[in-house]
Amino acid sequence: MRAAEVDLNDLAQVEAAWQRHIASTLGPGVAVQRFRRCSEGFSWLTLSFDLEPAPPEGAHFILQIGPPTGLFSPYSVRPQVLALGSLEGSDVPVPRSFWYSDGPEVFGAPYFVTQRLPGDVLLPWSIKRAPAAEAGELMRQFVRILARIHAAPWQERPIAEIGDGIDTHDAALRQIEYWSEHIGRWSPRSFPMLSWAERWLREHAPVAPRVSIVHGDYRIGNFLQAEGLVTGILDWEMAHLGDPHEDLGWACLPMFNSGSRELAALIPRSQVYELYEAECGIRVDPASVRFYEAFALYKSVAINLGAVRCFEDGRFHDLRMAAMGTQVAPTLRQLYKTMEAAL
Amino acid sequence: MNNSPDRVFEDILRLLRDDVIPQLEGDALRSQVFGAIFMLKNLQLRVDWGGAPLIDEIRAQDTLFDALRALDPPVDVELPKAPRLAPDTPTGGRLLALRDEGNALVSRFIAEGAGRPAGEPVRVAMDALLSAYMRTELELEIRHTPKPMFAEMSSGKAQGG
Repeated sequence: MRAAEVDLNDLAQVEAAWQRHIASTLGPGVAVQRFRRCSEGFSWLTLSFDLEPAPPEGAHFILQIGPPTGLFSPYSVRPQVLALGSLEGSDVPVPRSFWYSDGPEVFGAPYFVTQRLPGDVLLPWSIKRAPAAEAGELMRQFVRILARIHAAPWQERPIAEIGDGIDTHDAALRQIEYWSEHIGRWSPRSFPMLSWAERWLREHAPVAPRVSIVHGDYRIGNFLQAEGLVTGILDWEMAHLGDPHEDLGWACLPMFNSGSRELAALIPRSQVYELYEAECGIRVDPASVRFYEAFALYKSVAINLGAVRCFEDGRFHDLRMAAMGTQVAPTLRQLYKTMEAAL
Repeated sequence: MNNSPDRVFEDILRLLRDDVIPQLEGDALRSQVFGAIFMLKNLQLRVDWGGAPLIDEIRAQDTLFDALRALDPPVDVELPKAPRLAPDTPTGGRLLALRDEGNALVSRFIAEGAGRPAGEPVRVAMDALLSAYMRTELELEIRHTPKPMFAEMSSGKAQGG
């Protein structure tokens, strides 16, 4: 397969490549309109476009491209496409995915296209400014939707393809190994606290209550809301099968909740767990959530080190990546405190 | 700092030259930014990460290594026999290498502990020394880390303060 030569930093080139692909697949009469970049993220390049006349798939779309220079490069569309496909038709608000490929034929990089859902992203620091009752209701929906993701049957669904024999006893260890391997790849420098944390995580890995679809980045900032309703759960690039407590630990991290141990600095943990249990029937073990909070910080440090590597290699010219590298020590200190508190 | 100073300078200069200057209106403001670029280029040729925090970290490692030698645990890791800092220790890259070599040794001690039962007296004693060092190291790093500005970096808007 011939790799397309497209400069992904040049929006006009990306649009032209996409227009050529649309013309070849949907016909020359279908035009790409209102093509624009949506966010300035570090990972997938996210773009919005409309098609006119609208094909049966719809009129409004999101295109995501995994650039060879991105934070988690090399990319694959598989985890997100499989997760979204597994939840399609469920009561979890996820966009439908239409076209995707891990091949280089369109952009020289993996890409996938989903339906564009209505709504705005609520950022961690903007939720503080929303009226408490409205924000509280949104966060309760956020918890209920998480419970539905975890209760969703997956064994006969597409995501089972990446299950690789996972069970309740090795769910945590698989994630520790995955991120430890990335740390080794990204950081030539040894961080004793990371070695300490890896040892602690391995020694305290809990048995999962069940194996579930895990979003992997479930937090404020990764969902859409419109008029008080959560309209879509976004950013499935770290989706995998694992312990449902993993998403709870991540979502409850103080760094995603204005520094608070309460969800969105509004809802106490006990209420989060009650809501969650009532929705899906999975009993929350607070000790497992504490374990996964420590794991989440370990993973955060790994991501920060990935950003450092990406910046140092000159793959990505974004000073915010260098800025992420400055957060390694504060996050390690938080990780140490979290491990101490979990004992 | 986890990035090299040269790489950080390089990208600040690129940002100012390629992205900021073309957006600025008025020669007076552009002149000021060219002045900033010139000064940054001067700094780029002359500066390295400060040596003092690295020296403090290496001293903390040497203190840990002294304590571990006194404990004499049955661990197959060779420790430096004497303090590694001398009055003529060069700064910059050599200090960074000493700090990183020291931390690699600390990590090996941590890995050795993984093979021992959690309550074993040797492991308990080793862990107490190791965790005291790690806390010190992080405090030294954090002392030189300003308050994060991720809200501003994500939104592009000043957050006040």
